[in-house]
Amino acid sequence: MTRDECPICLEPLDETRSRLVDCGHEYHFDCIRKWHQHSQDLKCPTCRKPSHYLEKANQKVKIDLRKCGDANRAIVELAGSISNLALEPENQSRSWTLSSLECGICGTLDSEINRYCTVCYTAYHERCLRVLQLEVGDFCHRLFCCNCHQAFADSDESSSVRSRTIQRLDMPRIHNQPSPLNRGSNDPSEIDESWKLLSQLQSEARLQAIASHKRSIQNHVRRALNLHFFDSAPSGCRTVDKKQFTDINKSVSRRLYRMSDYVYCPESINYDDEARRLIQQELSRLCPGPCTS
Amino acid sequence: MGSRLAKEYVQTAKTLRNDPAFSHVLALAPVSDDVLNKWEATIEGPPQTAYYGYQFKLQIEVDQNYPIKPPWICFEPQTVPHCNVDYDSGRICLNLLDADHWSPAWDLLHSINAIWQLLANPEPDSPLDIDLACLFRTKDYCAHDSLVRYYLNGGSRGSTGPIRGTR
Repeated sequence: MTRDECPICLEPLDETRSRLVDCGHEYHFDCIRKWHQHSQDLKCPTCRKPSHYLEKANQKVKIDLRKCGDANRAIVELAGSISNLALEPENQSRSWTLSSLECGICGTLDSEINRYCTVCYTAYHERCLRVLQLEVGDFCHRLFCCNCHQAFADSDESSSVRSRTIQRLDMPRIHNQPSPLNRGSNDPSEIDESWKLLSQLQSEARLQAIASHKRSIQNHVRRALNLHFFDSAPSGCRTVDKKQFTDINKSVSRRLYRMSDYVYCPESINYDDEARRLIQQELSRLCPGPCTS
Repeated sequence: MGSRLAKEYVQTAKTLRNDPAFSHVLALAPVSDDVLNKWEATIEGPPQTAYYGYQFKLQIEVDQNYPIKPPWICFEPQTVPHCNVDYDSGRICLNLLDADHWSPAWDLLHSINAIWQLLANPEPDSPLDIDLACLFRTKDYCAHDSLVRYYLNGGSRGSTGPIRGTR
């Protein structure tokens, strides 16, 4: 067995390679997490030595495996989408620890945690806060931390800001040699840091999802538009030049995004037909006159 | 899963061709090239044991979750008298093949090799064949080996197991 092969799936180790810190054996991130979830212990499959930390090679994210279960499942869910993102090498000297970030109300941690009190470092599901609010008969629009009663920033504003900006992964603290003694979910800065990482991953995953929906829609537009472009156009069809192609592609695609609310749903919308129809509209606007196609 | 088994197939074939350390594994390959989740193996009895000079066939089935789940391996029915093998069914008791002790870093070749080692080193403390385990535990190796040879040479235990009953 060569060194650069994941012992679990026997495929070459790629950028998702991750190292068990205690024994140094390397696996694909997904493979070793899948195994640990199955085995219910934290032993290395190769040497059976327990390892409490897993380090993701490319991002230098150090994950505390003892806070296993939900926290890591959330990361695993997100890992698929973030592994595609190009992360800057400037982060390579740093490593972060993902601490426990359970919802302060329901106690679970998953990728849907979306509220975080920056005053007392408590995370929540927005839905849990809303339910609680209804239960206590508080019909106020704003949400409050149920630990320290600090008001959260307005929901719409913060979510739109998060979904539209890509921030650099830039965490404040560096863990060079994590000591197991002072580690715990009570260290506020660590929770703070983990929260930032988690919300970062969430927003990047969201952006990626939107981008992939857009790409799928654009494919339909391009296919329809190619019929009008240069030589590939069948005779009798109106042709467009490169600039017109780009403009029409852009405006038709945008209208289709809005039409489908930024989610690609080929079941309910016939994108080919819609794209053809909108392209005809654009073409007739471009140079009015009968169109033969 | 499919690609891991395909890789194992290639690696195993190469190891069996080139590595004398596995010369006792006479064959280990999928039953057919189309279905990689059923394999067959043939091993030689370990030297200096009652099993020496005999060949044993193993059936292997691989779950969809392999290698997270261990492979299912068993001898052909009524071919292996051994204190950790159920003679009638061929079922093998080997902790490595338990879900609790399995490791995904293992592969089929090493599992088969472990079974080969089990033939030479019975574990009388977790027996499937009480008679052989008792003889082995009382260190009556001569009787143990004779009984093993008796079965290997075609002696029959009978369907109701009279020997077991006379204990």
